[in-house]
Amino acid sequence: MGRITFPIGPQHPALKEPESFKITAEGECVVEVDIRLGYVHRSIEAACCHRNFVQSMYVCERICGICSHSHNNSFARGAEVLLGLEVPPRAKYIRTIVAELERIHSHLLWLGVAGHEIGFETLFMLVWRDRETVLDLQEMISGNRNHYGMSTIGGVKFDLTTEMVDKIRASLDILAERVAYYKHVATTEVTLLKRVENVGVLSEQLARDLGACGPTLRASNVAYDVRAAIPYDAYPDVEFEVSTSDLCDVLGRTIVRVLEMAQAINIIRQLLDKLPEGDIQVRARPRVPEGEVVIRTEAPRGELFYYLRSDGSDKPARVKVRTPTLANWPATIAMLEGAYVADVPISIASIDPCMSCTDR
Amino acid sequence: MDNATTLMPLFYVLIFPGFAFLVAFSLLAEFFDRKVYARLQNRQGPPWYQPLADLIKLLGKEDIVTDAADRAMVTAVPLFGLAAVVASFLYIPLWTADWAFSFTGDIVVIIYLLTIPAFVLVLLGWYSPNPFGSLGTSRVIAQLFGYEVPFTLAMLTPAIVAQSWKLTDILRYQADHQWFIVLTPIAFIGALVALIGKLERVPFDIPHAKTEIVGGPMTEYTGRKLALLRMMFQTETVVGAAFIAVAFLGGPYLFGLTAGLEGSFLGALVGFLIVMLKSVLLILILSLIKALFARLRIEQMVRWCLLWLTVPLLIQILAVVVL
Amino acid sequence: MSECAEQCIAIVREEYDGEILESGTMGQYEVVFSVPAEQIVQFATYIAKRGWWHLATITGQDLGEEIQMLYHFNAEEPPAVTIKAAVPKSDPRLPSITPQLPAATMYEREIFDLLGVQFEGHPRLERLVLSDDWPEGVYPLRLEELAKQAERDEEEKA
Repeated sequence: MGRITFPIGPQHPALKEPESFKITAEGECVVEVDIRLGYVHRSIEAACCHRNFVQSMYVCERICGICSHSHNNSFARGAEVLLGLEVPPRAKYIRTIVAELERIHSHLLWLGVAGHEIGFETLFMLVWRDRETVLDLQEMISGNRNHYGMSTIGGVKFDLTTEMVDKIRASLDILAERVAYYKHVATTEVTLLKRVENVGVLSEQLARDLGACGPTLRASNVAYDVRAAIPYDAYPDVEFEVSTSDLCDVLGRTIVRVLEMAQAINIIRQLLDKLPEGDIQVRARPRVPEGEVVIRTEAPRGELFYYLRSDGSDKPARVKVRTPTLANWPATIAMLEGAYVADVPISIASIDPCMSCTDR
Repeated sequence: MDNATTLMPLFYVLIFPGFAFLVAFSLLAEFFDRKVYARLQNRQGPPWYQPLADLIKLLGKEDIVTDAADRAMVTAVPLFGLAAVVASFLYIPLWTADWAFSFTGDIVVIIYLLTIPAFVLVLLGWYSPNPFGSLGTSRVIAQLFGYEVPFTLAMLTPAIVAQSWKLTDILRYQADHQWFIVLTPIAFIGALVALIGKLERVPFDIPHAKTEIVGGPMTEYTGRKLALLRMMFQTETVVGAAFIAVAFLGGPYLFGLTAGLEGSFLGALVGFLIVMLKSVLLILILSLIKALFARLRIEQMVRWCLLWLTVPLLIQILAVVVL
Repeated sequence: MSECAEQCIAIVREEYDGEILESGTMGQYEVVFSVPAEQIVQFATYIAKRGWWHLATITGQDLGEEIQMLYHFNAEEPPAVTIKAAVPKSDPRLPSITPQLPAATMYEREIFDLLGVQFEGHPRLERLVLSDDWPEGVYPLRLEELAKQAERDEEEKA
């Protein structure tokens, strides 16, 4: 059979967001992949240069609809470093709780989408129903299911009441049970295993060389997690394991994410137990002193990188955002070449791509 | 010849048990399928008229044919497929073993007619300029090799046991002895699994896997033609289920309910309802399987079918012949 | 300056035999080195081999007279290393590190798109982010373009 070149995207049922992959296939085998970004480019880096720090923080939150807190929080942390602010401990704890809730909801979303990509609609439906539990918690805490606007420069916007803490604990018990069940499903369900085992293989060496990050990297047996490497917020106060897998395939990435959900539940429980009393916000000056700072955050999809430079005015001089998905594209292309056409959607999905993040 | 005798065959073909009834029943079956599937997924599911509404909506939509496609071919082929499926339904004895259309070799004709939808898809993909269509076509052909051999082997096992190529004889044999699901269980399972492949349902929905190749051969089709294609698959579901119900589940016989009513209208009605009940039961099993599995890859599917369906079926046929 | 950052600077200054223009820190965990643009491949490869295997990203920024590139490296443990290399805006070209460090491919293409820097030796320096009909020679993250955008914003408000 001859070569066929066909597009996956910018419009394709496998992609939830527009991005273009040009796949050249020989029969059912992929021989070449070309990627083109920019279909949802919103010039957020440039837009930030025209807005003051507080406005830019909310613009940055709009980079992603799923890991919005990671962006919001990273920007706030960067501005705090430039301003020399010390955030109250209670605010740090609340930030971390919201970040971990976000991780659970993002990974649940991913698990559902992965099920959908391999034609396992039942998994998709069940997982997304459980995801509602987390979204309800976020709505209770911040008033929004997404785009919480939780962090602000100098602290957090909303406090946790005792009733909220009880509600979170109760929901976590339900989620813990469901996560254990999904772990069982992901490691035993036969047709699921047939579609994820030895699919999208990324060796440890390639993962390192191609600069992969997040669960994609950890599933290739590299124990790099920003939360452990350069702890921020309340992470120094909690105990958790960096989840890794040596399977290097989509199954490995699934297992890593399921384990991370269990870890996240564990982390939130520890934080709720230790939640300190006190203020949740300190005042911040609008003018930010000259300086530059690099902020690394472990977003649900991997290491989120922020570079902020201030020239002493109330507007940032440069905001550079590198989202985890952009870092994972070279690794994804390596996964796809030589794979089956049928495995292309699940391999792309296995890095949990966020096209809006990539384009910014 | 009087009017009644000329009109009766027309009535059979167009109204009952032909086209009109088949479409109505397939819409009902689709509703059952979707509702069960939805409830298994913790969803509410559609109301009973949803399949009909979908059909009407598709029929009312704009009919687009791409410039690069062969217009005559594209229009004729879906009709051809639907006609083949409707024709095959006529040869299935629905309420009695004294079926008017029955003849020696009808089982082979049904198997043959049920193969035509696959070729319809091949032609559609072939005549469409879309790369997803070409990929889908190659998958349809590969999948055909996977399920067609087991399906034929499975359906022929009862024929070998009953020593007749006539579906009514197979039915009589079951009435006299035992259902073939008990006599040849492997053939029943084989037929059911191969039917899933034929109907392109999960886990064998590979030729039109939407997250991989959009709609496969059907990517470029819309409006009336898509409605016809969908109807072709829905009716094929019903025909396939009824075929298996008659060949393996004893057709209209159930606990001797129709005993003594042979030839009467009541007997026909009860027998007919029993066949429909068994078909719906089989469709529910298909829905369960749809909810429980993920989609396989094409090469996994072909290998699995050859290894775990064809080989056991051959062994069973060998055993049947020897015994 | 934290202890690990000091150690890192000492080690690199002793081991690396090329030219290091400047060294310092940025925040608690970042060590910053400035090197001449033409030696970036040599230094970046050294840093990557020395243990900072993860190239987080490359930031490009317009500083008026020159365009500065920041190569952010890190490892499983602090400190992280940032390498600065500047090229004149009139002739923005420097060697590509992609042949040695393939992780840089997307980042270099993005900077090529948005700031118009030529990375010499990049296997495939093509448009990545901007649309195909974007005018040649207009680089949206350069200061003059940002100023134009600000003007347009003001006009819209008025």
